This record gives sequence, C-alpha cells and structure tokens, in this order.
Amino acid sequence: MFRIVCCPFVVVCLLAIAITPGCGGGADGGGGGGGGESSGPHTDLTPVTSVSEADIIHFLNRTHFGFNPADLATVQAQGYTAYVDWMLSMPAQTSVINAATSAEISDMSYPGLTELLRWWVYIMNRTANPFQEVLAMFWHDHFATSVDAIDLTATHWVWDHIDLWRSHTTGNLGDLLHRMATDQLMLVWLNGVDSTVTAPNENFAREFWELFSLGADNGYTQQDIEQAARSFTGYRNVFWNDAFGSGFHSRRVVWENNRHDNGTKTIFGRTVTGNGQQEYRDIVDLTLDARGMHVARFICRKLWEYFAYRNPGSIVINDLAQGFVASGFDLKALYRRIFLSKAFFSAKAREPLIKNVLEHHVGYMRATGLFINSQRIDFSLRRCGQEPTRPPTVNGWPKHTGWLSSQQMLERANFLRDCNVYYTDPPQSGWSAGALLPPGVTTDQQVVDYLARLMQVQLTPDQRADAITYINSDRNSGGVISQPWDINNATQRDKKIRGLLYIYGLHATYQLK
Amino acid sequence: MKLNHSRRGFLQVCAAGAGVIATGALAGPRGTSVKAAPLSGYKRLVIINLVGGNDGLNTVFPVTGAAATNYLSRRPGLAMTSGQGLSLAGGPGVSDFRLHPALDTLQGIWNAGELAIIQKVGYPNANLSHFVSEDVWSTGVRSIDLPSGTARGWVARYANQYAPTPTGVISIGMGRRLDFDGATGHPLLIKSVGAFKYEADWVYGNNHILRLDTYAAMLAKQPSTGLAGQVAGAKLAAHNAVTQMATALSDYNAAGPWASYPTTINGFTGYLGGNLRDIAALMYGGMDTRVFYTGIWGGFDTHSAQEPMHTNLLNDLDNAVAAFRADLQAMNVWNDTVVLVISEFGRRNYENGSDGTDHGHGSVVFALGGAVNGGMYGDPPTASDINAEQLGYTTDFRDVYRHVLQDHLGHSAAGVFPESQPVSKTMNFL
Repeated sequence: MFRIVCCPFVVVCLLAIAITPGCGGGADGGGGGGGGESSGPHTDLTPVTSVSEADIIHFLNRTHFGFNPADLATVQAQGYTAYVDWMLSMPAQTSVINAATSAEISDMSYPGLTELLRWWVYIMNRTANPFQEVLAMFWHDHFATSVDAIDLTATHWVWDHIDLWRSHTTGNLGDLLHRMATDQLMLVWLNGVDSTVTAPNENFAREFWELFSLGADNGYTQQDIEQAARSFTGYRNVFWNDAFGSGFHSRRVVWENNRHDNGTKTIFGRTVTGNGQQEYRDIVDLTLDARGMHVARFICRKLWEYFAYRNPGSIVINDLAQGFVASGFDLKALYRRIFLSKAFFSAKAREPLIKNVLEHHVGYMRATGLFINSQRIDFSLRRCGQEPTRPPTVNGWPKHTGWLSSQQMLERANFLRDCNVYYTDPPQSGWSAGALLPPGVTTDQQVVDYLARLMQVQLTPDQRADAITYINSDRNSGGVISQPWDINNATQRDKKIRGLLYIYGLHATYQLK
Repeated sequence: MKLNHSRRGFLQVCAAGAGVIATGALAGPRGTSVKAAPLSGYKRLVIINLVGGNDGLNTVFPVTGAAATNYLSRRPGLAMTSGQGLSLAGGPGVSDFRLHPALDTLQGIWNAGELAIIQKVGYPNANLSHFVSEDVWSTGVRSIDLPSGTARGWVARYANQYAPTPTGVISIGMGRRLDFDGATGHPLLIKSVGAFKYEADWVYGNNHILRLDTYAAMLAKQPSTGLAGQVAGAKLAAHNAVTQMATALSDYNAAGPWASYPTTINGFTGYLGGNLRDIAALMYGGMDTRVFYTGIWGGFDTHSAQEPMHTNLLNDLDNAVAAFRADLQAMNVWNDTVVLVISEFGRRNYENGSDGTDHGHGSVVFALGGAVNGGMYGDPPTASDINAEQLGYTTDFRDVYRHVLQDHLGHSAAGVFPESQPVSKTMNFL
C-alpha cells in the first residue's frame, strides 16, 4: 500500500543498486546519491584500534565546535574510546549551567526567550562536554521548532524544549519521538493544538514522517497522513493573564479528551484503535514497527552526513541502520558505533564540510577565549541566520554549502570583529593576548604558525608570508608603516594578535571542518 | 590557478560615523562597471516568491456561476464574496473573477493592461510537501537526472550560460536559494544592500583596515581547487561587491526623491518593500543583472487563522510593488522589466477547522511589467476543479519561465529547462 514517488532508500533496499542522483536531496547544494558504491575504508564500521593526533583533531572538528588545545589534551589523557564513552554519558555540567543561569536569566519562572538563547550559548562556550551541545543542535535542527510560534516574550517551557535536545537525545529514538511529538512548543508550532476531532490538521502528521522520521514520500501516503492527523488530536492551548503584565501571559498546552478523535484509523494498512492521549505514543511505535528500517536509514543517514561525509552509499547506511534496529533504536549505541568506526576516520570522512554558524562562532570563541558579550551574540547569530530556538523553517537551517552566501561571508567577518570590540562580558575583561601564547612562542614566525594551528587554518607559503608581514606592520592615517613584532609591547601585541585571529578567522579554510 | 583579484587597498568610507568600511576593489572579475544610471534597454526579470504556499484561490477568486457557488460552499469562513474584492472589469475586462481586496495596485496595473494572471500553474505529479515543491520550482526538474556537472538550480543554469558574473543574477533577502545552486560565477546572495558591509573596529580602526587588506591579499592567493577554493570564490565575489553595492545605494539615494517603500502596513511589518527598494537601487547603479530573486519569506503557510495574515501579506506585496513600479517608471526601465509573482503551491480548496487551509497544488502566477500583455492566461478554475481536493495544474511553471527567458530576456531556455513535460503550453503574455 505504499507508493514510491521518489524514494532513494527504498530503491536501494529493493534492488541493491546505487541511489539515483537527482532523486531526493535537500535544498542545500548536495549532489546526487551515493554513486556506484563499493565497500572500502569509508564503509568500514569496525572499531578503530588506535587514533593519531590528526584523528583526534578531525573528531573535535566534527563534534566539539572545532579544535582547541584543551580538548585535545583531555582526549589524549583519557584515551579515545574512554573519552567517547565519557562524552556520551553526558556528565552533568552543573557548575557551568549554574553560572549560565546566574549570568543570563533574570527570572527563572519567566525566562526571556532571548535570555534563554544567551544562556545556551554561554554553556556552549564554556562546557567541558561540547559534544552535548553539538548533538543538541543537531536534533534541534532535525526537529526544527521555533519560538516564533508563540506570541510571548517569556516562558519557562521553552527551557523544557531546549532541555529535550540537551538531555534526552542519547536514549531510545521512540522515546525521543514521543517526547518531541508532545512537546508544548511542537504542539503549537505545527498546529497540534489546533487539530481536533471535527477538524484534524495535517501539518504535524505530515512533518512527523516527512521531516522527522521517514523522509519525503518514503513509505507513507496522503491517506496515512489524513488518518494520523486524526490520531494527533486532543491537545489545546489555554491562556490566562497573571500579575506580570503584558508579554507574561501564561500559556499552557493541555489535553482534552473530547477534542481527540478516538475512532479507528488505518495507517500503513494496519488498524489503530482509539487510545486517547496514548495514541501519540502508539503512532510513534507503529512507525518504528511498520517502517523500522525506513526510519533507521533516514536517521542514520542524517547523522552520518552531519558527522562523517555527504551522500553516503547504501552499504554504510544499511549497516548502521541494521545495527540501530537490532539495538531497539538505541541512540547512544549508534553514536558510539559512528565515532569509534574506522569509516569515521576514512579519507572520505575527512573531506571538508562547511561549518554552520554556531560551529564557526562558538568554535572561534572557545579557541581564542574572545567571548563577546551576551547582547551582541544574539544579534550576531540572528544576522548570520542561526539563532537557536529560531530555525527559519520546520526543515531546519541550511546545511554545508547552503551557508556559502555572499551575505554570510560578510556577517561572519563582522562576528569576528565583534569579538574584538564587544568585550564587556565579565570573563572577557580578563582576556590577554599574551596569555593565548604558550611559553616559547615569541618570534613573529612562531606566533604566526602557532595561531594558524590554533585556528586550524591551512596557509600556503605566500599566505604565511602575508601573515608575517602583517604582524611586522601597522597602519596609521597615512597608510601602512613598518613596525617589527615585539612581544614585550603589550599594546602592539594585543592589537596584532587580535588582528591575526581576525585574519585567520576570515581565511577560506577556517570555514571548513 | 589563482583567483582573479585586484590588489587594491581599502578605502574607509565613514559615512556620518556609521563606521562602515567599503572595499576599494574594482568591480567583479568580468569587468562589470558601475555607473549611476540604469543600463538602457537591458532586459531584466524580477521574481517575487511568496514562500510557504500562497492561497491562490483567495488571491484571484471566482464570482460567477457554479465555480463561485462551489468556492463559497467549500470555504464558508474564508471565501471572499462577490461584494468583496476588486473588479477585473477594467483593462482586459474579465467579469467572472475578482482580485483579493488587498491588491489595489495590481488592479491598477491590470487596468493599465500590464498584468497577466496565469491560473492553475503547477508541475507534474503534485507533491504537497513544501520542500519537495520548493525543490521542483528551484531546480526546474521534476523527475529526470540532470547530466553530471550540471547546476541543480535553474537560475544557476541560466546564469552559467548567459549571466556568469557575480552580479548577473542576484538574490536579496532569501538566503542561499537552491535556485542558485551550482552557479559558477558566485552570484550575490545578500540579505540587503544596506547590510552588505564590513563593520569597522573602533578600537584599532587603522589596523583593522590593514587586517582586511591582508585578508584580501591572502584570498587572492587561495588555490581555486576544492571546497576551500569554492569558499574563497564566494568570499572574493562578496568582497569585491561591497563597494559596488554601497555606491549603487548612495547614488540612488542621492538621485531621489524616489517612491516610498512601506515597511509597516496596519501594524504588520512588511518584508518586501526593502528588498524591492534594494533592487531598484541596484538597477539604478547600472548592474548587469538579468535575474533578481526576492520574495516574502514565510507567513503564507496559513494552516490556521488565515485572516488577517493573508491580507497583511498581500498588502505587503501590493504596496511594495506600487513603489517599485513607480521607481522603475521614473528610471525608464519598467518596460524592460518583467516581474513574476510565484509560490511553491496553492492551498486546499476547502478550509480546515482552524480557519486556515492546508497544502494544495495548482495556483496563480502574476506577470507584470510594461512589456506584459495584460489578461487572463492559463485555465481558470472550474466548478469541478474547486470540488476536487485541490486545484490541479494545466500550465507548467517552466513554460512561464521559458516564455520570459526566450521572449523577454532573449535567451534560449533549452539548456535551462531540459526536462520534457507531460503538459506543455505556449505562453503569450509577452
């Protein structure tokens, strides 16, 4: 009973041939499908036995907002496998979270939406486990919900929403899908609260499969959507005013049995009996049961494309997906398998990807210590087009080369400039250009090379010569002047190190991960 | 191969303490020149995308016969009555449809014989997904595989063939659209002309200029190969365009007074006015642009509480177009410009229980401009069309684009839209 309109996964599954280029693919500049794939290092999911420093840097680039020396040292000290297990255990970051709350949230009962954004970036900048935040953003992008759906300036349940991505994405996929489907913000965002027994709204039912679990036209029909829309009924918005004044109305999502369509539905050719509020869970379970491999391939592909390489072929995706299904959709086991695999370190997985805005911004701040003040960070994230809690559409943010717009290039430059001029954030006031340099890095060439490694930019020899010329120069109103590098001149040192970080941040290779 | 770059220093243009830095680089690599006058007789296309799926059936609605009866019965809460809306009896003279009441400027353009209303436009094998539909409209391809190495976006395929400079095709306020994917000339994809700038550093102002000069020098030395080369190309195009854009805008501003582009209408923040103002400024600045792509980004996905949102959005469209047309007429380029108003799909014929409409298919496209032969084109929705779930399509959107490319821009569309179509209709509104 399911139509195949444009369905790469099913084609692969049934015929075991390569995906047809041009079939599917997102609006993100990705090419076609997997091409005539054969197995090789890029499909080898057996665990790595040892990792080099370059391997760890690759791992940090993909999972930690980029390289920085402290994270490298931590991984090396713990050992790679032990570190991955530690990272996936999501150890509580209590002190960072408390500091973020204290710094950014004025009223914990009614945190402002902008405050929550700053709170989250504060944690990203300073957490000992950046992977937790990278993964949270991955899922936030996947289940892209926006606070623009709510006409409020403050509410505590957006906090719950962020917590869903930060704290509930290493368990079972079915639990995650169920939590997501009944999340208050999601229920408002995709019209769940408008969907009733007399007038079911298809919006959530469609996106639940198209974007969240199966992929476009992958194993479901319009009839299935119409039937599932009946199951996804029963929640409602409630408003009441309180003493806090305009903008602080309370808004809650509540369940009302008489809004739910408790009749029998037929989905994927199976009968779904009315089950009240539990029917949300039933549809999740039905999807995983009736379309398990479809879901597994869809989720594995998305994770693989984000962390490893674009357009994976069927071999590696089927392999991952089979393991994922066999594990009962255990997400942590899936991540572990990915990050420990030889394929994750293969040459193909090292082909560069474009950093998204948060990887670019947070990575720069974590590496340099130049944390811009919290008012400015939300301005910059908005201008650059990746403001957590505000994805542009339910399809999430651009991916990979989707970030290569002309405007984006300038906005990223302006963020780097912001890091140099907006330093009122308390930790910022103690920033010292000199302290960024370890002992023994003193000469112009040493400084140029050390900072290039810190930023992971790849300089050609003549670009390196330009960098050396830069720190041996300055400019006044009359033009460029010679000014030999002097590490003991604090003012010149501050000016030139900030300048070199800005120049490196603008380097083409700094956009890559 | 090194990237082409003119190694010029930066000029600091500190306009009234705004701290804006413009680069002193010359125009783009192919030598597009900047001059404060629009290119004369230069044919252009401006696309306005109503993103989210505009409700075409409420935009142009039936007022006579069984079509009107069915329309009213399927949308008891949302239908426009024959007493509402704006008459199309003027100009080409149509009596069985009316325009949404927000579209008074479009009514005036209709009366002037410069508005083509193309009904039931879509693509084969309808898909109710925004993202699939947007992909089809953006790639111009429904089901074939493009040859390897061919750009995915149709605007990109056009640009690679006919307008391969950074200014040849420009997107404003729309992010990085798939339509532009694969363009080799690094077309400018910008948020707005005013925001297209490097911010100054007020702590180390002079050194900051040296930083940007060093950056530009290093960019010129970036190998053009690989993804880093692609990034460098995009960066270089952006870098070179900063001065070009700023100059166009300041020349335009200095040459006014121009039409007033509304930013707020009845308390609703408009989106399109600023974008069209920027396009007018770039035209005034003499850009060699063939295709400008802009739109109203979001809001048209009216699953619930469609009114007054839909009216606000159409007001934004109508008022922005009013100012844009006045500017283009003042510049004497209105006759060289075709404006297409598109959307990825229309909406369901019946309203849902949330005072909104769910995703549909066939919808209405507007073509306007001094060279347009006004009138009703395509096939108007019939009574039985309206009794179906959603409108089908009888005009493939690619025939609309093809017509504009060939009969307005004067370029063959064969390589731009290579896929054969099950439905093909020769358009003749130009």
